[in-house]
Formats: sequence, C-alpha cells, structure tokens
Amino acid sequence: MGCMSCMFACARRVRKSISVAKSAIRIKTKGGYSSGNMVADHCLGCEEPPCIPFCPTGALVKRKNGGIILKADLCNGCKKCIEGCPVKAIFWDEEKKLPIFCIHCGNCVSFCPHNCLEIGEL
Amino acid sequence: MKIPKILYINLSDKTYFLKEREDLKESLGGTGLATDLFIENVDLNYPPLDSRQPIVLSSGYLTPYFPVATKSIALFYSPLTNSLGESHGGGRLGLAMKLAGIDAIVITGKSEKPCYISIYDSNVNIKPADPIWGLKATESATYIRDKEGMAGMRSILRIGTAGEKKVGFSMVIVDTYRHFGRLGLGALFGSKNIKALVVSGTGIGLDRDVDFEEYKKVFEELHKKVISGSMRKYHEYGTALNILPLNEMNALPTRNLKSGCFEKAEDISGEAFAENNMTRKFACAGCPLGCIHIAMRRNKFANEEEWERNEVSYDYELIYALGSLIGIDDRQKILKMIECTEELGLDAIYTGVFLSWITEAFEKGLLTSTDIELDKIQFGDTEGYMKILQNLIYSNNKFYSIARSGLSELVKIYGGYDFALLVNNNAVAGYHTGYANLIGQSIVGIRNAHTDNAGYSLDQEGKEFDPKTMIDLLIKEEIFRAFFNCTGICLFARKVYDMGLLVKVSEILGYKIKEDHINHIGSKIYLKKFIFKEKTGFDINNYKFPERFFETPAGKKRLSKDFVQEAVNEFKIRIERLKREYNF
Ligand code: SF4
Repeated sequence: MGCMSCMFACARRVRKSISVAKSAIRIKTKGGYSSGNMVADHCLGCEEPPCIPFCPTGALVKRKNGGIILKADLCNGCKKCIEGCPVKAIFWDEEKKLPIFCIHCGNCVSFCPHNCLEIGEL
Repeated sequence: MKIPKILYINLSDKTYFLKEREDLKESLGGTGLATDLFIENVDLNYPPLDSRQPIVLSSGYLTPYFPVATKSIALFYSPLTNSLGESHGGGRLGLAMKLAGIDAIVITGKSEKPCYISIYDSNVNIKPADPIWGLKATESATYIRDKEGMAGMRSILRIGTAGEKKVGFSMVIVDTYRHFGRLGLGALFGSKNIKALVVSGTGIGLDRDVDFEEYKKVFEELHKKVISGSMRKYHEYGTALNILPLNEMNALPTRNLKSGCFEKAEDISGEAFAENNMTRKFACAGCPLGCIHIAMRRNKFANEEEWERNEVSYDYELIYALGSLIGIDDRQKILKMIECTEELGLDAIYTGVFLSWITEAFEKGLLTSTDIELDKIQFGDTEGYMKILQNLIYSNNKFYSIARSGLSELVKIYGGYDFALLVNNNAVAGYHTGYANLIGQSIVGIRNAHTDNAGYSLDQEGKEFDPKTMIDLLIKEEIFRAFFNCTGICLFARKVYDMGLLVKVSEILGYKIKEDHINHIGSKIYLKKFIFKEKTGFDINNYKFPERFFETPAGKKRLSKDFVQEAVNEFKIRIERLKREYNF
C-alpha cells in the first residue's frame, strides 16, 4: 500500500541509516496510484547475476544462493552495475558513493505490516 | 536544532535559490516554519491571488524519520476567506522534499504561460504545461509521470480545471489520493499558472548524525504500537466507520443540515463500503497503518456495454459531504460525485456544502433555473449536481461567476446566509455534535476546520461542560496541535505520540524541546496566525452564526444562542490574556 515500512527497515537494519534513500528495495506504483497496484523493485537473487560482468574492477562476486556480494574496497564508483541490472534493483548511496545491494536478509519482510512481502529459498 | 533550508522560487523572472535560515531554527518545521515564512512574504496591500503572494510548503521536522510522520503543510492567503489559508497534505510530499534536501518551499510571482515546476535536489526547472492546461487533474498526472524520473521517490502535486479557473474552493491533489483540500490552494496555483509541481531527490543529506541504537529502538517500538494499537481501526474501515455512530447520535448533517439523521445511513456506512466496494488500501509514505480506502467505481462510458473501472478514495468527510448532506444514498453515486470533485480539483467538503445550499436556495425560490442553468435541482439528484459543477467551472453567467468566489459572496447577492453551512466562510465539516464542534470550528479554530481542535470529539465525550471549561479545553487542544503540526506526524497518530514520546523523538533528531515548552511554542504559532486573521478582517464582536446550526438539534439537543454567546465572550477574555502573556 506504499507505506515504505520495508524500505525504512532495510535502511535502518542493514545500512544502519535513518535515511530511507539507503534502502535496497524500492516500492512504487504500477503507473500511478490510480492504477490500483504497487510493485517492489528488489534483487531477484539471480543464479548468474548479469550485473557482475558490468563491473570493471571485480568488486562484485557471486553469492552462494544467488545474488551478489560487494567488495567495497574494489569499487571505483562507476555505477555500471546499476545499468547492468535488468530489473533495476541496484541503487546508489550518495553519501558513501557506493552501490546499494540487497543482502537477502529478510528484514524488509518482517517489517511489512500487511503481509505483502515474502522471502523463501530459491 | 537543525537549520532549515528554504527553496525560494520566483516564477516571474524564473529564478530560484536555496537559503539556509539560521534565524528560523526555532520555527522547527511544518506549520511553525510555514507560518513564519508566510508572514514574512505575504503582502496585505494586494489581494490573495495577486502574483506577489506566496505559496509556502513546509515538511514536518520529523518527516520522514518516524512512523506516521508523513505530513507537509501549505500556507497561503486564502482566496476563499480572504484570510489565512492553511492546508495539510500527506502522500509522499514531505518525504520527497527531504529527499531533495529542502525543508520548505516559497513560490512567488507568476509564470507567463502554463507551467509545471520540477524540483530535483533543490535544482528547479520550470517546464511548459500547455499540453495539460485544461485537462483533468487525474490526466495531467499521467503526463508528468511519463516526463519525470524517480518513480516511487517523488511527489506530484497538480490542480484540475477548478484551480485554473481560480475557484475559491479548488484544491491541490497530492499523489492522487491525498490533498491540500481546504481553503483554495488550487486557485493560488492557477493564479500563478502552475498546473503541477514534482519534487524528488537523491536523498543526500537525509542521513543525520544521531544516536542510532536509540533511534532504531524507538522507531521499532513505535512501528509496533501503530500497527497493533488503537489506530488499527483507521486501517480496517477508515474514518468512514463514523457514519453509523454519528447518525445514531443525530449528528450526521443531512440535506443541508435540515436533519442530523440520514434514513439511509446503513447503505452509505463504512461497513457497507468495505463489504461491497472497497478494493484496496494505500498509505502515505512512512505510515505503516494506511488509512486510505479505495473503492471501485464501475463506469459505463459508452453504449454497447463499454465499461471501465475507476479507483476512488473515500472517507467519512467525503461520504458526509457528497452523500448525506446532498441526500445521495447510493454508494456508486457517491463515488461518482467524489470522482467528479477529484477530476475538477475541488475541495469535497466545500463542494458538498455549496451544492446543498444551492438545492435549498432553489427550493426556497432564491435561485431560478436561469441562475443555475438547469431546469431544477433537488436533493439526491447526482446528474444535476454534476451539471452544476461543470457550470461552476465553465459558465460565465452572473450566478456562476460569483459562485467561483464561494458561498460567502453568493449569499450577499442571493440571500440565504442562515442556511449556508459556513464557519467563518469555510465549509463546516460533518459533525453536528454540539457546542464544542460549532465554536471550535467557527471561533477558536485557526483554519475553521474540524481538525484544528477536534471540538467534535469533545462533544462526543458526552459531558456537559460550562462555557469556560469548554473554551479552555478547545484552546488547549488548538495550541497543542499548533505544535504537533510542526512535527509532520499525522493527526490520526495524535494519541500514539504522547508528550514524553514527542520530546524523545525530537531529541533523537537533535531538537531539544522540553515538555513545558511545547505549550509555549504552540501558543506563539497560534497567536501569529490569529493576529493575521484579525488583520484580514476576522472580528469576533461581529461574528454571526448561520441560524441553521441552532434550528437543527445537535446530537439530541438544540443549541442555545446564550450558551454560544457566553462561550464567545469567554474566548475573547482568553485570547486577550494570551496576547498579553506573549506580548502580542
Ligand atoms: S493514517 Fe492515513 S493519512 Fe495518516 S499518515 Fe497514515 S495513511 Fe496517511
């Protein structure tokens, strides 16, 4: 319903930030509120993450059960990975100048007040 | 205290700048900050719709850092009342302003041509809006959505044709289902040739240096409290749940308040809407509760069974204003009326009061079919009402030309003040509950809105107050809310955030406010606005209540004019004392 509780939870629990802009999940309408639907942009935990080849410095590595892990010290801040994500689920931390990735922890799910989100093994 | 960042936009010369206002630190945010910015920018030598007059938008100082802190406040010189205009809106605006690194926006001047304002990270672009000028508010949003980025992290404000035509009770729609509804902000947008405004940003600066563990703890406790506590009722049925209890107590204004009881209340109750029409709920960004109830309206838009479904939001005030007040007992027809006010961009409460006055004035022969350009109008005539609203926007006959300024102007020419449901030129909200509601909205309330001091809720406690006690309680609540509306916390969460919590959450964000100081802050804000109202003509000694409020029993009893007069006298003493106390 667009309350963004999941986004606040991700920013707070994962990024230790009070800024909702740090969330790795983004809620938006599916073409305006009057369309009657919301969608969540979030990492799908791809087995073969298409964002990885976009990284010129090797800062992205495959995560065991899908998705990726960021090696922050290798990142040069080129934002190419953002282009590389087909579902637009990589965001940008303006303060740290680093990409924001989902870590598949499920904090967003546990703060959804109306059971709109689910997490499971792929 | 944080130094507020103000974005100033001048549409006449297309300039803008961002300014840190150290001197306004104590104004906090929301209504406190907006009041100071408004007073320093308004010019009483010119009328409300003069291009020099400002539109001030201010995000609450706790928005969007804690649950249900979602609001932003608009202040303007109201073309409807020629006095203070203040309106509160939710949606994503408060959040989007903070993402853009702005605490408040001040817009002055007038664009030469229709425009929309695009704000991104405190950079401003004034873009042409010719293609959407003349379009419904709903359609113009689609245009902006396609043109601008940051879906999900932006807020889109827009007006309908009512605002373009500067109707005194036109509104600004915020993110489809929230509004700056009251007192004519739409006309201010129209007068400056602004069709829409979109705000977003990267969020740089949104992060702040706080005691993070404490923040997290308090946030999460509040989150739990909101979703499990007494607020829950707002999620389940929303405010529409009040239809039946208010009808039961004879306080649901019906057919221009000829009665407080609607015989078809069951059919238009929150329960009936939920069971038969509700399709989903929405929330303002940052509110885990979500009180925005959406219903489906089936619309046959052409012959040969051509149907569409439209999603319309409803709540108590809308069902009152566009249901019982104008005698409509069919839920689909109420939704149709709501949709019509949304598309044209009209304040629904005022629209209901306006239509119900026209119906009775026509019944009484004060208006003719030539005036309203319609054979006849009677309570419950949805099609007739839709036609009147179209005429209001497009007709240039004498009646509609005056009507665009509001009922206060119409009654001067056509009579009928005594059944015009006005509280100091604003339209009354849907609670004919008793003295506290009437006096709270007409006299004490700064915006003449029911949420100023919640007199209706005091009445519903069912206690018999003497005038002095009642005035004390109304002023106390009004002053508290003057502070509360600085925070940006939605008034529905008024009881979740007690004094202690307000102090605590403020402190976490670096606002050191002592509990005993809250009254002081609220009093000063209230007085600043009250003085502005006096300067623009509010004269408590010459205030005349429409008779209808006394003719129709409020709750189970008729209101006595003597009691009201005593309360007004009491208020005069109290306000003078307050002015002396604060050297106003
Ligand atoms: S309770 Fe309703 S109006 Fe208030 S913040 Fe939540 S969704 Fe918005």
